[in-house]
Amino acid sequence: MKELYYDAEGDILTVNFLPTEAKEETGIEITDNIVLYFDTIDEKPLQMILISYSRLVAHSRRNPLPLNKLAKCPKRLQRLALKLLQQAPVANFLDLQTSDRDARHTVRVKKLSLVPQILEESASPLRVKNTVTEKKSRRQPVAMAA
Amino acid sequence: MTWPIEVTDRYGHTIYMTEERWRHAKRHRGMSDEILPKVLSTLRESKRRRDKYQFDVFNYEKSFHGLPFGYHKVFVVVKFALNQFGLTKENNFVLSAYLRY
Repeated sequence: MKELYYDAEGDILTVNFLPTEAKEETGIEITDNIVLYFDTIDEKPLQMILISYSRLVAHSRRNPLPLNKLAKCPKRLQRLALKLLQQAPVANFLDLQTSDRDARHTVRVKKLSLVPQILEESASPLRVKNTVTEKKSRRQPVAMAA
Repeated sequence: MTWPIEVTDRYGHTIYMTEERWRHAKRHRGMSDEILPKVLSTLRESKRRRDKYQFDVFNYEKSFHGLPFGYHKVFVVVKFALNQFGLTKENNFVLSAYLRY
């Protein structure tokens, strides 16, 4: 299961991959504005935060984002993050590319379609929250099977 | 705790955080009400760095010991704006916060 939250005011996309507690977790910035959290024992992604999400999509379409921040992490975490980036569910959101020339890694941020959802909270007036679903599965609810 | 919480950063800018924004931050790994004092401390004391993609968004970053799950740093994302009713009054507010290795 994964849950997606898009905050329109901050242009922040939060993806929750696993609702369970991790055995041992970490969260690293793989490039500017993208933080990936994962379980270092089970090697599973837990959460991903994309700050300035729509701008990341537009910018990375023209110029794929270098994984410059990843290089500052311990080698073990680098290898694990790259492994996660190459496979679903993280690969559903980020398109990892590797240069043939110098083996440098870059990512493109995939565009998701926005589906506004009206939520009513008992303690406050009617609130509008923007949620996101993947483009190919617009009819699915917010929580989707991985 | 009275919302919104208002703090002044090291540059003299007043920044506020609403309860709704704090709830947003608590969606992120390791974030809880226990982290709130560290988030406020980050805003008060750390240097800010302009977001690479939004010129009016700044990131505040500070290292701490004793964060959950071995995380080392608190990040706070702040939007800087002017009050819609007056060009001289600032309207700076927290968008979200998160922890990182």
